[in-house]
Amino acid sequence: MNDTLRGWRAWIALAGAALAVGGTACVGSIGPGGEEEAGVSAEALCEAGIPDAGRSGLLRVAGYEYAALLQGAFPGATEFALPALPSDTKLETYDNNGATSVSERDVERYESLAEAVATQLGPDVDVLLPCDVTPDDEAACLDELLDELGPRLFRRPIAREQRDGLERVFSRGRDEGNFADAVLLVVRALLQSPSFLYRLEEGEDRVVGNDAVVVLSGFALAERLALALWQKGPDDELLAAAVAGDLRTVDGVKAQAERMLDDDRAAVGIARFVAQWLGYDHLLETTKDEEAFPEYDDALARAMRTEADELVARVVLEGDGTLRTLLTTREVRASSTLADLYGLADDDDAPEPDADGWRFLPEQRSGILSRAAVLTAHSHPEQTSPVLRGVFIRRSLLCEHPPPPPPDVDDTAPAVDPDLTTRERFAVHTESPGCAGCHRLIDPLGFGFEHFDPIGRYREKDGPHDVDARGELIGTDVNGPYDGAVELSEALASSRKVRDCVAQQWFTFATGRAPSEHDVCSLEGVQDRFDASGGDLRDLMLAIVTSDSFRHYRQFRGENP
Amino acid sequence: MSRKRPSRRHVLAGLGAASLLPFVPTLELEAEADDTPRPKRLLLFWHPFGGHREFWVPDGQGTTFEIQSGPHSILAPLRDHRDDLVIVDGVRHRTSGPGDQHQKAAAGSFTGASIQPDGDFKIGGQDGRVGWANGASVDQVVAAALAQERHDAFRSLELGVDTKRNDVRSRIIYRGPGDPIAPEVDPRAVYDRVFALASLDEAERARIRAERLNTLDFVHGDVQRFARRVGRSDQQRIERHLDAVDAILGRVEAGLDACDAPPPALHDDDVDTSGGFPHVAKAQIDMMVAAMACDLTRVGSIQLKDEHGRYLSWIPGIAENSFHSLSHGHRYSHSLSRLQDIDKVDYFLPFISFSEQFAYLLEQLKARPEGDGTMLDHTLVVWGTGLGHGDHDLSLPCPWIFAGGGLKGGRLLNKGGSVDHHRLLVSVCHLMGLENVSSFGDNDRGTGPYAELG
Repeated sequence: MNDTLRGWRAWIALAGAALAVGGTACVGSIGPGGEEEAGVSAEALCEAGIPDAGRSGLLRVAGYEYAALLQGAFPGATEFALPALPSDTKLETYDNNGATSVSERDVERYESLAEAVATQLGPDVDVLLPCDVTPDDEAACLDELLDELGPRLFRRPIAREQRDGLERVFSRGRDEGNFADAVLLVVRALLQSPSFLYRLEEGEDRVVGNDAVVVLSGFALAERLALALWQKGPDDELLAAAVAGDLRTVDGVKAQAERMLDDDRAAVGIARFVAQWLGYDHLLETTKDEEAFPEYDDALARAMRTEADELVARVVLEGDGTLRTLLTTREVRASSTLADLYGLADDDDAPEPDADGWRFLPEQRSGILSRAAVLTAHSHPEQTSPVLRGVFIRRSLLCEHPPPPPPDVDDTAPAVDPDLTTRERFAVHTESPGCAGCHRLIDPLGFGFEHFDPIGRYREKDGPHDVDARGELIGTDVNGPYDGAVELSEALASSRKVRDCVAQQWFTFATGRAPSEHDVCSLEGVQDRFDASGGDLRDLMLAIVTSDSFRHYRQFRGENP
Repeated sequence: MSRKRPSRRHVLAGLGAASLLPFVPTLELEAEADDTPRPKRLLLFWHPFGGHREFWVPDGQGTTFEIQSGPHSILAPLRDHRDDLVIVDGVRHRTSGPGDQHQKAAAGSFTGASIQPDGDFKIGGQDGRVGWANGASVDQVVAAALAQERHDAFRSLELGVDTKRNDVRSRIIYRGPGDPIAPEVDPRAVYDRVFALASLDEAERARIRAERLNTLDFVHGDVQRFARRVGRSDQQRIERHLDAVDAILGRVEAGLDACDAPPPALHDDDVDTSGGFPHVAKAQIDMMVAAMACDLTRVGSIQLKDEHGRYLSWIPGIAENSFHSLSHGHRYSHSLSRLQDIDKVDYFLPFISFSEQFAYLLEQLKARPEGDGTMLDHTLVVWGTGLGHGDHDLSLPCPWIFAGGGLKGGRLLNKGGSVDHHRLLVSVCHLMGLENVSSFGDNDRGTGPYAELG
């Protein structure tokens, strides 16, 4: 994007005005929302180099974070079977925006969850204990247990008052039952504590020159770091860095983040982020028409997800770590079911996989966008969808938000008709003036994936017709015609607009909020650095977690830190 | 066990958050002395995507009307209940402010409120975003008032069928502005929550009770401690958490768990997919009626689906259709001549299915004797919706249907007329004894109750 177009005016223009392309305007771009507040403008703060940050609000831990924190707190336990968690609110495609109030039912759910965990820990409670208990030192053993469990669950030490309360839970429980029973009650109490359930933003040091913003405390920052990079709680070393005050400086944060990215846990966290970003995090809940696709079952869906996760980890953490590689690599490690789907099994001339199982896909496919997980998630149960796939590219890679169809149109996908190609069936979109404004931005991106059926299998024919996967990029900085997913991926990999969008996606996920005007300064810095690094995803994460937006939190005026 | 819990209001006053508590009208207790006692309970019923008024509102008017039979009559399943119904035609959903029609339909039906601007949800067909409804729903206002008089095990029960997303198109019940309540969508979970304890023996119940009181007592204090560390802008959310802990504690303390009901016989697939809709809806109605029969709650809501276009998998032949798209079918037209122009019945199938569920609800309430009559006589049932028609804007009129609660049934009111839905919400408050309510929701233009109803 042209530099002069960037900055606040550009954001505001994008958020408020029509992005007129062709005859009819198709509005909508994901960008910082306005937030009126008296005081120094965000723009002036940025020019003066004074830190600024938007407000996330008090976030509850999302469902998957709850499960991860739990598993991290009880590493010896087998995986917990959890009853239903309170539902998460989505922010864009991300599940980690819990900034809504709990209902009574939610609080009951937290109670039931705690009880279920305690019941499942029951048989293993001895394993849980850091000490051998004798009747005389039960109190000391409980203390040790709280020292160990507290920071894992609360992401900070247990406060004195909390400890007193938990000791009362224990002693009341001990009156009625044995030591193990009482310990399990303490676990139930811990799991219902708001210190476990909410992500507390706190700090002490106000920023000089911007009294709306406070430097996050070491523990709060450690929590953000761990949830952003690992989607787990902080480990002992990160907590120690928080205690030592190392997270007060950019260098200190960077050192910890680099260490964390070298850790195996980063592979899981990053893969999960990409799955939410690219919309296949709920692949296992995606159903397909059983008659048309009998081979699609849980095992295949799981294989697709595993393949995508492993690819992401390999590119970001082992390979060159660039967005270009993620979008264009043909490297693959596929289970035998998936190898069948990819046509790897039939190809006798294909080179054997290396010792770790990695090999190369046929030339029909390239990076993550033409892998089965993405293609399957963005299809209808019985047919492909150029619309779903096109909207997906617009939204997730170009950060544009095509609006839903106007209220007076029938938005059912046209029925499968053997006499027509998919392209012909969708032609009404670009023929009707009311639809064309948006659909000429959408459908020509989705057509590029027409060689892949609703479960991501390569096809030459769509019914009796030859597949036509030609499309056109419009409204980007890499405009022009292309043919097929490989060329499309290549074009997207060369786009600055895509790089800026990916930076914004990751920023949104890491901070748990849509960027506001107070985040523009940090976000633009991150985007420039991402571009300058040649699209280095690992460096992008370092840029985000060391940005002012990530290291600070915003308060209402007049609030005490 | 000795416990000292300072009253919640004390704590909050200390935090300066008392002003954030939603307005709760006081109950007009004099109404009790009246000849016509107010109904004991309120039960809301809701469905999305409107309907088609010409095939929805019966022929005739006043006390002489007939519900048509046949595949085009949305209310056909209610023919046997004709004499219990008060059908109010011409209900118009007046709204202002941002949001698309589906967002407004869900958010405004029972709140009469606009939608808060600048939230997390994209507005369909326009630029910009919205948040949640800007007001409490009528059941919650009634529940808050009833709770001043007597504490029930559950202040209210919110049950849903086939609604899974957490956004403004999926929420109809609100505690207050920006404060939606998610319905429980799994009848088995409702059973576990409301009835399962009753199946245990006395000693086991006592143990569970003691354990819950022990841990919840800690949680109560811990939430209060946490409130002191949270910024002012988030106080209200912590207050809600504390409220919830208090309500649960109150329930456990009172030991209100001796009410039995058969557990719902459902499979995971029933709840996880749209295919189980009729079974899940029936089971939710069973749970609701059983809970009310046991006096565990006096206020409830049953939400069928939501304003998203989910599948209609339980209806053969149109299982693959999106409900949203189907509801755009049969373009609304005043000139559409009746029946003969309609060559397909698909459009009507989901709406008739909702009527079948409403009929089942009335049957269940009528099957339980209570006082001189049945449960229905003491339960005000309100079937509301937001959209007049799925293919048009909100201002198209639709019928709302009332039953029970001592209303004189067998009436079709306001045929061809027009009445703001806020006035019906005010009427519901009046019928439930809140006679000092004169308007409802921030969109109300203040014309008072719809007097003909009562």
